[in-house]
Amino acid sequence: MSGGLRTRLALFVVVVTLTVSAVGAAGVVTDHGHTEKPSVEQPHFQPDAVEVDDLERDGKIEYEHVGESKTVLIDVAYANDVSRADLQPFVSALTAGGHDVVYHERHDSDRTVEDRRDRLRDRLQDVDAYVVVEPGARYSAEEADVVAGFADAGGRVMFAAGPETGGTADILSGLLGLSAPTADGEIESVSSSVGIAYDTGYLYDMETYEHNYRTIAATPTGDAALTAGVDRVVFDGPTRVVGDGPTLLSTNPTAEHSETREAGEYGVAVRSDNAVGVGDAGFMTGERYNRADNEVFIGNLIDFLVSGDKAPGEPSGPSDGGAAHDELPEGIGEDADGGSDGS
Amino acid sequence: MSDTLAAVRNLLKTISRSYVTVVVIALLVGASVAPIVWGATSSPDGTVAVIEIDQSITEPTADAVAADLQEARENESIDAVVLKVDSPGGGVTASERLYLAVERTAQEMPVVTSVQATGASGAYYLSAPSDRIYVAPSSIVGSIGVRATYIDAPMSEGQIATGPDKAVTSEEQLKQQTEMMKQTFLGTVMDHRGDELTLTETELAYAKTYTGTEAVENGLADEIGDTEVAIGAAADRAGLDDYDVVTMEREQSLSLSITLEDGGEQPTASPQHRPQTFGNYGGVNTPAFLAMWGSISSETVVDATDGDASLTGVTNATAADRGGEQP
Repeated sequence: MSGGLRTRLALFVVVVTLTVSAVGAAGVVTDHGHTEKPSVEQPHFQPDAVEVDDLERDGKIEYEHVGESKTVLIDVAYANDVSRADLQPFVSALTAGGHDVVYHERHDSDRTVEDRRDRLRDRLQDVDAYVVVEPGARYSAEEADVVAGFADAGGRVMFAAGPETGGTADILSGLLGLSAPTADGEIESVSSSVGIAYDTGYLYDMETYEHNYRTIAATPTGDAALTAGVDRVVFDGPTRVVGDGPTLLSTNPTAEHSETREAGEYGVAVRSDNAVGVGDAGFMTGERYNRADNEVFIGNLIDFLVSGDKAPGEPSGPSDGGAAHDELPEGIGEDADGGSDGS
Repeated sequence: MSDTLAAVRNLLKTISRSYVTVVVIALLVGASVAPIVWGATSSPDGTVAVIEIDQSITEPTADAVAADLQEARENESIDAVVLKVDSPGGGVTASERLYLAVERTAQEMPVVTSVQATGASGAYYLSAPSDRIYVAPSSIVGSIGVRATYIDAPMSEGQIATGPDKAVTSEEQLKQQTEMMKQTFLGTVMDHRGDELTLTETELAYAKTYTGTEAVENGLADEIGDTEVAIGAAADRAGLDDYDVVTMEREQSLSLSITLEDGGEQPTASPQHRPQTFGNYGGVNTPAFLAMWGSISSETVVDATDGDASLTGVTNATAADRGGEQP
């Protein structure tokens, strides 16, 4: 009896073992599945394939004419799209060199064009240099004449404006009773009076650029004092500037115009007698003033502003009517060929 | 009794030795095996799976498409994939994910893209590894570039951070990051389409869009053809003479609207998916990097890697208003 039981037990164990082994073997034989373990080996996805250099940043603004105090007037009365902080390096360097910086601001009493013109003239009579950055409202012909008279009398003038003028500034200027809001041409309404014209659109370069196609370098075109020591100045999407004097800085020949898409060496800084025009304002901000040779160029600009020799009391007297300067028509393309006739 | 048993035993013996019995059993066995053999010999050789990408590419849509592609790789009955693309692109990361998923699939089986109305930016990104790209004459493809939203908001008062860049990314750094993403995108397109392209890398970097006809000429696409042509081409590449076409079904509609930052149209939330808001993480706004063509309401794109990617309404209007001749 016990022998029979043992036999049956052995048979049971053998059958169970065979069954499990057979199923296991069948599983091994039929197992073709696997779970994906993918990896990313695409060379163009690896860090080596990407190269974006940091912009070189060092240096401080230095200039020659230090000590002899001159007064520089910064105009913020025309809905200028610039905060004082944007100009801080420029203003600090001027102040550190012993010069005074004053601001021309909008005043409640400026009710008519004549009021504004007279007040601008009053301010300009007391200063040696005049700076206009990113105006958001147009200058009247009479005001432009005052600025032209200032430059004629030996006052130094600097314009800095990029292609973008704030839309809100236009609305504001309308609310403030300034000249009728326009889509563009604010800087040109004053710069053309001294022979400097601003283009529309911005410049970019798809071949040679810093870390964005709009961040491009401009190089000196000659040996002007304003570009002494400058190898390259880096701008962010500057606008083209032309003048009846020498071009100071121009882009690489691969730079293109945002509207025409034509490539060429576009001037982005020009001088016209006692005035200089730069096609960007951002190059002076705290974030950008020491990129490449920007600080050298800013130092040269300051030198230019404080080395003028303006006749005392100029610009004087009421305008003779400003017949040569009617309000600029819509768009600035038509006026872009200079228009220094108002001087 | 024993006689009866003997008679039954004899009868069974006789039956078991009868030819008729053998034939009957053989017929039964044959009838049960025949359908399998019939199926093996007369059914289609394989299956072409059609995967649709018919909206902007967000993380939820990328999840769904990536899952479809994984299913295609794992399902042995699927032999080829056709991507039916109609999208202006979307998030850079979501587009990169789909690119990787498509490339992974293309290594295992033929993948053919059929562009409907639009296969631009991120949608082109994911199509680049396809074996063939078919377009309609009026399809819009291209826009190889990246753009980013920039939030110029300093850290609010009452907060302490451990570094100057903790709260917000500077515009300059954002430009660098955008440029890096562009280089990866451009490098990917050049890697996959470089041999076909007649455009240089610089020309491509303008991020221009092209019609299907132009795209066939400049190498961004291979041929003019609709989805049926693409399916046929995919089957051909997989060596299938006779094939089934299966459109991968999604569990639910993923049509979510898109918003940037905290403005714009609010997304329609679905319980299964976090709504995609590009740069808006439940009240936390971050820069959003987009491989997208077209404008989005309330978008404030300040940076782009190219001349054509910024197609925001505001930017366009301003540029148009400026028109006029240069001096």
